[in-house]
Amino acid sequence: MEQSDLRNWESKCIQEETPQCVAACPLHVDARTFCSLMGQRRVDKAWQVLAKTMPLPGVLARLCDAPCKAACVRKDVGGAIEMGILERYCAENAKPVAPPRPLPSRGKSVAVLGGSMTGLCAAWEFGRRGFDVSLYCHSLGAGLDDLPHGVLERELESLRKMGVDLEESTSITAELLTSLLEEKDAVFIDSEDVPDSLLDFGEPDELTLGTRRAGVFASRTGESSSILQAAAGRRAANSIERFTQGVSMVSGRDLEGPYETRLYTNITKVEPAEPMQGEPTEVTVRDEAKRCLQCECMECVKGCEYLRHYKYYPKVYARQIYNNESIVMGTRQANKMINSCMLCGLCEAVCPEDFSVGDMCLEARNTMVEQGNMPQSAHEFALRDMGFANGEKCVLGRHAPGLTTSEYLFFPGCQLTASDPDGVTAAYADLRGRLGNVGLLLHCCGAPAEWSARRAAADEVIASIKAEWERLGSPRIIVACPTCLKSLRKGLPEAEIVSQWTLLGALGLPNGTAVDAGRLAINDPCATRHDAMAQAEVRKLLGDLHVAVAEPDYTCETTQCCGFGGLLSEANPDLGHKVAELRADSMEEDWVTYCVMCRDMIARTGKRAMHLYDLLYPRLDDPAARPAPGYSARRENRVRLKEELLRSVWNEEQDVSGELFESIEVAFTDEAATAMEKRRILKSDIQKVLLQARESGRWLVNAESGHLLASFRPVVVTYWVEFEEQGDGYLVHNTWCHRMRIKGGQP
Amino acid sequence: MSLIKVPESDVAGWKCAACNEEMVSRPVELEYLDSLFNVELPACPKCGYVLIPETLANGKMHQVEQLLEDK
Amino acid sequence: MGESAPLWETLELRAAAGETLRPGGFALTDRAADMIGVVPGWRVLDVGSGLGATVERLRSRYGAEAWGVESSVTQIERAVDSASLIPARGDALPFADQTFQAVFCECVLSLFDDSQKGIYEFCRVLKPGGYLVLADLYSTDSFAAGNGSCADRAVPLSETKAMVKKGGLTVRLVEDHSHHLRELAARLLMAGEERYCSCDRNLGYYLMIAQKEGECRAW
Repeated sequence: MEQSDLRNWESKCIQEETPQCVAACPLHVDARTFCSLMGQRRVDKAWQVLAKTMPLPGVLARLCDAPCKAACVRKDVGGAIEMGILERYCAENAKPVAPPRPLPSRGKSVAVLGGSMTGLCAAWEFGRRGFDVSLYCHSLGAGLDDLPHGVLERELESLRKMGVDLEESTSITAELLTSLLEEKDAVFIDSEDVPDSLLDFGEPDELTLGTRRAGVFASRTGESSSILQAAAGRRAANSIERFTQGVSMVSGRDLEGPYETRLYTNITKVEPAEPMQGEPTEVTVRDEAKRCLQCECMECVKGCEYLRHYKYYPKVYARQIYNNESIVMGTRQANKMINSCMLCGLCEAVCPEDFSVGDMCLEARNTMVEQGNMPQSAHEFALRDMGFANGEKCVLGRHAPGLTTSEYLFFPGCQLTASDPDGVTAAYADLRGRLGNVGLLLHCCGAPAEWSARRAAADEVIASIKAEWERLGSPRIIVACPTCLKSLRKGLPEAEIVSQWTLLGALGLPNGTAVDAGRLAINDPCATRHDAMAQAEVRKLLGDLHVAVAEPDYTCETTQCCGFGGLLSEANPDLGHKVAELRADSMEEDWVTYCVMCRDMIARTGKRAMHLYDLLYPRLDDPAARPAPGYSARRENRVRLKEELLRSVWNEEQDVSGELFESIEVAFTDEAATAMEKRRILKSDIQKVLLQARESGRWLVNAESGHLLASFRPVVVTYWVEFEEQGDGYLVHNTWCHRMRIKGGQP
Repeated sequence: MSLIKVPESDVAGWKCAACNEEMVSRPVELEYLDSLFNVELPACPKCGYVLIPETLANGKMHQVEQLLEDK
Repeated sequence: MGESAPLWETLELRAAAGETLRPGGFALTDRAADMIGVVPGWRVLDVGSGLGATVERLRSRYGAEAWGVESSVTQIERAVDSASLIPARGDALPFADQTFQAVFCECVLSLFDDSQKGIYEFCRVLKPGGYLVLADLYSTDSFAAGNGSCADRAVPLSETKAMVKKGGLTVRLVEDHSHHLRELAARLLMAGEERYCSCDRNLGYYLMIAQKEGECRAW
């Protein structure tokens, strides 16, 4: 990520953009924080928020006509927050605060002519910035007659405390102006409170309030809103500050006055509530302040546990990723965060600015791999599993028996074969039965390599698929997994690829489908996010199957990933499980889905879930209760499936000369089985350890329990197995592993 | 390189079956990703078979591996 | 009644173009002022200041000490405030050498009898490092044609660049802003002013910024 990329990412995320009220306020008072505090009845603290930015707060808060109301997001959900009433209540009930402490004097002087609200506010602003300021007028507070007793006096006192020199009862003449111009560095004229004859310098510039007369600045006439008058005073102070410092009068002033903000706040779930009525009381004021929506965006975080987990939002994550990459020596803190994104596209779909955290994280993973900073253990198991699925024991590419050509090629993908091999067998038989010329290709589509940014491996997988596909005559490919559909469409653009659901839509349901599945919640796999057609086709199939479909909140284009996407559940198992749980628990009904990984992820949380195959090709009494197979079982399922199909469909016996370790008979206690799943230790790993122990004659023995303990390091991981002999084989009690190598130790 | 002692050496009663020897604490060199550690671990005094207990493997060792990987 | 007034002195143009009497209004003035970084304290000269709109802009918005020279007394008389406007010709500036940080010359150079002489003068009154801001019509033909209206005097850009270089200034930037010209022509057309015809044919409008680095060339 280059610095320019970082800036692009950061500016795309609007979470830190100003709320509408603050942007619309000519003084940018923090109305949001103000309402939060008033809602907690912390009136004094709320007053401090106003006093921090308002000149003459006691006066202004009572007169403010709240232009923020026109921009308030709440206006569409019951009515804008009654900011004016809240300000007045706060002014009347809060403990007064001392005026701001002026900045150190810089030896610059300015005169203010005129003492209406504009002039007084200008004087406040000058005083605050450390100018030597004198205000000349006929009478202080011209036009401010309607205030409670003492309010104006208190603010005038504050002005004096800030070092402002107030000269009342002064006659404002052209001579005064001329002499002041010689004395001071600049003069500001409150056009409402000086004789018209003085106003001979033309209309002041709207950006700077400067005039053609050097050093003379003035307010534009006709401004009746108090808050805009105060804003004019501030603008003049900004201009004169620049003028006396000799710096640009124009640059960086776009956000000085009211402006449009990009912040977006979703109000679709907000209940309308009307503004307060009647005289303000402690309770009604508090309730009114609580109506404030505390505008922020967070649209993506609302829908994604991963984004919630890391406590911030995409703008911050972009910087964390950038910082992560810049580290040359020392720990990279963000690697896990980068590897935990499901790459599912939900954030992009809901973001008003289309921020894609997935794109950002995948790019970051690419960089990590290219620079050699990708932690090996994050994806190793998944890549090994992919390698196994693409290995000799599992891969199978054939024309239908007795045929030498294929019109179609069924591509079930590596997870259906691992989780529901019988379903694959049934599906293949069905397709062959009704379409005839259907070949079979058992292979992994390479998604794990894509997700983990292992470009070379991904290209290799696609090349292998392409070779098989071409060898089989480049037939139309039927996929059963939405991720395979995505991968193959991308990797084999020249191929015609159709989903099994589309086909079944045209062919009709197979015989013997399930009846009376009742009401099911539908989980659209995240790979179907932009495939409205697939989503519609599956719903039609479910309709034909007499399933009443319940839609979750996050469905179709806004569907949530099950936790497997992007290899989250491999790189960060705890978070993956949490994601699956949240999804599973979000609906009362049992789930139905059309990606078997979604099905298994949900099933692992204990929630009942079915794959479409369970309805199309029912085999079990209660398929929703079927537990997800463990890692070792998944591998065995693939191997057995290939053997079974070759035997029953093609009448071929495979040369089952397995490896030596496969002949080791082994059973597991419950404790051992749980440890294996949690630590991703396969049955084959354990068999290798036991074989090594047997052949080397080396192991440890525990005097108390009589258990034996042995270790072996086949490649990069050392496995430990605690076991006892049982008949011809072994019973495993416990198992663990580590990557650290014992130098000079046992193999 | 200094020797690291680990408290998780819950060796409770394991002995080397082939040599019929009790495990004793000995310095063992461990390596991962070009980093070397000199750790005192239980090993057979005769043949040198090292024991890495479960708590160590799943605990400190795992943490160190993750740290070295910047995971 | 004798010769009709030049286009830039007509009320029609003033109505269509506004007080600046040129395409784009203040857009290019501001753009150039931002780019060269006009700040309070700068002395700036507007050559051909017309009604004084640019001078006022540079004073009130940029805080600069801005002056204008204008050869037409009629225009000066029409100005709201002529305090900073001096009757003088652009090719004979009544200022000492190295007086100004910037010289603006918008939509005027093509009216000079001798533009090259004008450029020498601009360079002379510029402080070292000062900027010349030129905006004017240019001809997309390879040579100029005719005389009289501003349009007839437009020259190709290459010629202007050569003139500026010859005057001892380094060209820093040249931009095309012909869309402003088209807009003004459209407005004139709407108002029924026929002279737009000449403003349309094979003409563009440019902004050029040049800087005085070393010595000026002598005339």
